[in-house]
Amino acid sequence: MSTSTAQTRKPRLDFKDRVAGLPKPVKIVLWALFAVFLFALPLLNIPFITTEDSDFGGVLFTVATYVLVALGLNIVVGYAGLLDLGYVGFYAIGAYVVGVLSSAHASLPWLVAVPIAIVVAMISGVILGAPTLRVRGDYLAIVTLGFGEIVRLTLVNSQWLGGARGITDIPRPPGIELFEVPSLDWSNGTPVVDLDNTTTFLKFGIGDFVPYYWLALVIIVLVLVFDILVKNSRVGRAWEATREDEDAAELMGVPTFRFKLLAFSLGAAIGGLSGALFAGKAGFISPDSFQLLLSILFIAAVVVGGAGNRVGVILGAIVVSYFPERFREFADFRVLVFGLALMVLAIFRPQGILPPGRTRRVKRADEREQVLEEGLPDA
Amino acid sequence: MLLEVKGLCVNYGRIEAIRDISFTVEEGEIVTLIGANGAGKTTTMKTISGLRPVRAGTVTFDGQDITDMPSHERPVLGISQSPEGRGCFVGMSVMENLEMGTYARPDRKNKATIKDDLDRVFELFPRLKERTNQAAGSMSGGEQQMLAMGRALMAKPKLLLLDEPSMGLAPKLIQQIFDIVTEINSQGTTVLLVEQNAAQALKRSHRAYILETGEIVREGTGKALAADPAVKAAYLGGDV
Repeated sequence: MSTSTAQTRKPRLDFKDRVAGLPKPVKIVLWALFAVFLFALPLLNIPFITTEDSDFGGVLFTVATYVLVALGLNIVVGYAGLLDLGYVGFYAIGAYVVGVLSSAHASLPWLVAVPIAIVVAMISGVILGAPTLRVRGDYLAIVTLGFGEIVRLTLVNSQWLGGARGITDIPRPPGIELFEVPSLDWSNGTPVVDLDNTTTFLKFGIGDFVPYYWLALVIIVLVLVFDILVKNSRVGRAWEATREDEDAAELMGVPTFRFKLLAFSLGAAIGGLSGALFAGKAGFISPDSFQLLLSILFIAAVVVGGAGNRVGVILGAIVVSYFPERFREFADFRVLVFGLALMVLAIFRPQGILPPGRTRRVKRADEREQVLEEGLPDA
Repeated sequence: MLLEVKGLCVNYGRIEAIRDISFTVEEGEIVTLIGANGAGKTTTMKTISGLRPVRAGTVTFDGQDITDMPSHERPVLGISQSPEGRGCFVGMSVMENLEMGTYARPDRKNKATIKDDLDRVFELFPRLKERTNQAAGSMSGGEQQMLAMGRALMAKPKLLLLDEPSMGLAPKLIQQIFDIVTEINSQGTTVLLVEQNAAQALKRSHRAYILETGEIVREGTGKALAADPAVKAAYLGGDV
């Protein structure tokens, strides 16, 4: 047995512990700076990070929707331990509810359509979950996989929903157009404020996707707050127990079926919200936007990032959505490179980039135990 | 009568796991179900705690018919089980596991009562107190067994179901676990025990039932069964 990793390790402080050790005002300032940085990111045009071949605002928006989806799916897969391979179905439902209510069959404003989309996605989560959550593990994965395809095929074949052509002219979120925000220009090697290239604060137009990114970022923050509150509550503990040992959880008095259904419907609601956001930005949706591949990418984001760790899945979502855009210059090879990168990650970080603290804690305790039992070879 | 099982039949698909078994547990007793692998002991336990659906028969607890009650509602009545194979939440710490034990208690918000019960569990299992922050999955089998029992006790049960608490443990530890079972019982908790370790179990229990291929073939006081030649031959290793 190799103890080489354990023997050199000093009592190590996690990044999280270090941040937690800072005085509160410092923490608030750091978080504020980080938030400002995130909001300014599309305007800073930082070399290397900014995508050259596609509009950076648009890419960031896509990344943000993936992050949102990953957070939703993390509740299902990471917290409750339910493998859902048809998550794109809820994403599609969210987008189509907005499409139907605001363009195809009614003309509700986007803002009114979104809450309805969330509720409909949530209900569809309950409808799918109620009969299927009684099966466990692999069977659930297969059933949900089928669900994603059923949703897509229904969209293709229903003329009422626009068939294969989809729904066009979906209204955009309402804007307020207050002021112009300039961006930075790095073309001479040093940053210069570029007053010609500006973004109108909250004009949801068609050429400039930065405001959509801002909107998505705000929604992500709200979802994150919700996520933290739920995870730290009795509900979060019940999910954890259910995931680890369903029978034991029942014996402790946890109504596991109800909690699984809750995770499923909350996840579905967030998926629907992401879809609604996507529809509002794209203005046009068709069944092609909701391929099975998307479900797999969503799952990949969660697994690559570290199921159960919200920061991890955010990183995973960024990896899955940003890198293919960033390396567009590799053209067709990028998918190959992407696949290789996923394999490498799976080999070297099987628990994800940032596995949940508990997984790490068990592992560390195991190592400690091993050192205790076998002794330090050089001590 | 705290627990009454009457004419219980449980199937796994077409296979009959237990056939028409009846037994009772009186308040304050330690009652043991003894049997070989596949005799239906664990199935009986799971049926009492509600994890297996009943095909026929009734389970009555404290005068209430609980045959069809969902398993998660039973801890509220006072039934708590330490499952076979321990079933600790391996990713949670020892303390969090014990807290899960209080999940269904109506008085779980009353910190003083919970603290008292926690102290009582730590008194029974001092090892757990040393390891409150350790992940359950990183502990030894014996410690996990203690944790599973401690967690079940945190529910403050009237009836404690222990499914093979001695499974896979060193002989010295087995002795210790049985001592603790006796202690728990003397503090007023009724215990229904399932065991393969017949010698210890019979010595400790007031009454016992012997299960063979899903049926009760013998019953009596622990002492009487331990002295029974047939039982001796089959479960206690003969005259050795």
